[in-house]
Amino acid sequence: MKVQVIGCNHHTTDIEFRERLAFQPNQVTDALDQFQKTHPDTEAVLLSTCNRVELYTASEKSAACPSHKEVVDFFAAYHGLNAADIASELRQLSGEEAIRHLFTTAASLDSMVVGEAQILSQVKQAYETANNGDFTGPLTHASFQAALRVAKRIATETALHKRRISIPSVAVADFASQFFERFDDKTVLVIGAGEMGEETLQYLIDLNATDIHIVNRSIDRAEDLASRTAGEAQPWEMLDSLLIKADLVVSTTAANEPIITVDHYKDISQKRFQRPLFVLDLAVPRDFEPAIGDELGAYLYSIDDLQAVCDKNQRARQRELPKALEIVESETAKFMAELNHRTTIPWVKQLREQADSIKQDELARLINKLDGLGESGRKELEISFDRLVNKLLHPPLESLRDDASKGLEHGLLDALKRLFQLRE
Amino acid sequence: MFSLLGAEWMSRISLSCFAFSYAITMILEISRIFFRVPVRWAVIVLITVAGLFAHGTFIWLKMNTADGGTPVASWQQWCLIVSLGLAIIYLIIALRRPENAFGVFFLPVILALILIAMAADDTTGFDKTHTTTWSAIHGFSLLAGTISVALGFVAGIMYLIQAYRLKHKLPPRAGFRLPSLEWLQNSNRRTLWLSTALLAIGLLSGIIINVQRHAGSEAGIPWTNATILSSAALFMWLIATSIFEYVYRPARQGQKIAYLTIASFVFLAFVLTFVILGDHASGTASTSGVEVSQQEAGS
Repeated sequence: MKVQVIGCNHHTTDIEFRERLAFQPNQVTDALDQFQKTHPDTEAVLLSTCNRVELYTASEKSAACPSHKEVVDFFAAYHGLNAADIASELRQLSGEEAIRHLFTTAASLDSMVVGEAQILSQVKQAYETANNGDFTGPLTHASFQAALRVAKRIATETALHKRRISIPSVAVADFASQFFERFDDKTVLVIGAGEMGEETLQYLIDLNATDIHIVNRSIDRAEDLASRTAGEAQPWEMLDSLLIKADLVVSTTAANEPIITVDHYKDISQKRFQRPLFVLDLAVPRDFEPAIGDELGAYLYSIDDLQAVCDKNQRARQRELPKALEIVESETAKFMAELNHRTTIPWVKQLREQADSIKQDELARLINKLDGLGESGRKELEISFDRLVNKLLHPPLESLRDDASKGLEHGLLDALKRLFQLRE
Repeated sequence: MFSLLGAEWMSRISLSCFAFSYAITMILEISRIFFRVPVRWAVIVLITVAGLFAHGTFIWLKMNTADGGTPVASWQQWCLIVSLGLAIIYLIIALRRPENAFGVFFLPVILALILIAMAADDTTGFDKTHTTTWSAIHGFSLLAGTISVALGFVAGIMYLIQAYRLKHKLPPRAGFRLPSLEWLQNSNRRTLWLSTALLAIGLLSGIIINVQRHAGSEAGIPWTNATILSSAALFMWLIATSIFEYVYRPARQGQKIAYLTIASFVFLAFVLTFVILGDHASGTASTSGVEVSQQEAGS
């Protein structure tokens, strides 16, 4: 019985290398299909994301599992690469190491941004794709289902995923959502057409924001952003009237001076009847004069404010990491104990059958010799033989179970096979 | 046999039983700020439900033993019913929004009311011989109005903390996540309007009762009674704040409405102090509110 993973990730390889090896979502089933043609007795799951390309393989018969070279050849052949060029970059992990890696990956502890939520859905997707194509089996079912469980446990028992670490996500989830109950009835004003503004806007659209206005000095860029996201491009001259109407402002212009000064804001605030305004000033240099934040009803957040929260959240995630790794360790040990126990089952069964066969032969021989034993005597004899066999087998099987829970590190299974001449 | 045992068991429920339940709930709610425990939420709900059961049973038993069957027989029961109403609302809101730390704000108010109930003399009660529709309306609307003002106070405090946090760019703390500013502002507005309406009904029904008394053979409460004047002042305050909120648009926004609801609660606390310390609604000659004349009761 063997579980292994062969592949590369962002820790060991650069993005150019990973791009060459990456499988598009529509290629995964085809790739697994080709792989299984050469390895029919192997279960396989292919995880291909922008940060990793990993092929998880498992087989009840260790010999059926592909070697490092075979997997390298498969990757090279599929992508039309030279196997020698990629061989050294693909690392192999087997058994406990492979399981630990899978658990760590699914729980987003191995991600570039620790705790990011996307990887879990990617692992789930990879498993489902392999499952739908019938490339999985008992070992991959057990290991991937356990990985999803571990990820869920870490999400529940640690605060690793609770804290956001990108500026747009912090801006929307940690602040805007604390300000507004819903976004579908809010007027969102986007000033400028910067990348950060677009990302933030996307988060707001995900929260059902629909009344979106985009103003930019170049109306073409505003229209371009509106066409890519949602909302309506407005001429720059509309800025003041839109500020009076807006509930939430995202500002990302490239202006060298603040576009809204305190005095300007005071005029606008008066026309808003002091209605609170939530402003995400994501521009550098800032679009809103910082003193606006002191005005009544103005909630002004600059990129530095948000970055400080992101950094704080990142540090908080790091503090949660040991707890999460502890969970991975205990779950890996538990999983391996179960897996090793499973490995011993066919041998234990064979040993018991062998002992039973000897018992039956000896019992039959003895009963033939003892005339007039009677039914009750025969039963007593049978019970006695059963007890004898059980008592003899109990200590070695107990030791084997202990050894299995510790990873069969003492080689008791091999010893058992040799001592009792058990054959595959 | 079973019902006898059940009745005996229930009769052992005391004020400290549910006060203890709510205190434990409050400690658990506060602990959410400091550390995470997976089953804590279920424990909070279970203990609160147990507290509510004991609380409700205690009031029910008191009502059944009260002479004359008056629903609210004393100031102790008044405080207990208000705290029960708040506890029920707390449980409903907490179940609907488990991610928010409502308990930290609701439970101190609930416990404070129970402490007042413990301190209040259970024997100094309302006149139990007089009940009419008007007195029932008077009692119920003042009771509901008190709950509404207390709710507004809780929402107002939460609003000010949330506004402070957002103004100072502090991210939400795990376990101490407050509802959005918008939700709190809407809650504040609703409680302000609701308490104004309920206290208006309470005051008007009280006036009607007193007018009937003055017109009849029984002595009513003097119109210059401190309790009547303070209740009228509270009502006028709520009317003024509601008009202010309606006419002056900036008052509908942000912190102003939170300050208004908190001020209303402080005002209410003053009025209740007057009422409890005074002889309003007691079974003395100067009665009002939840009672009518013995003559009416007898007819």
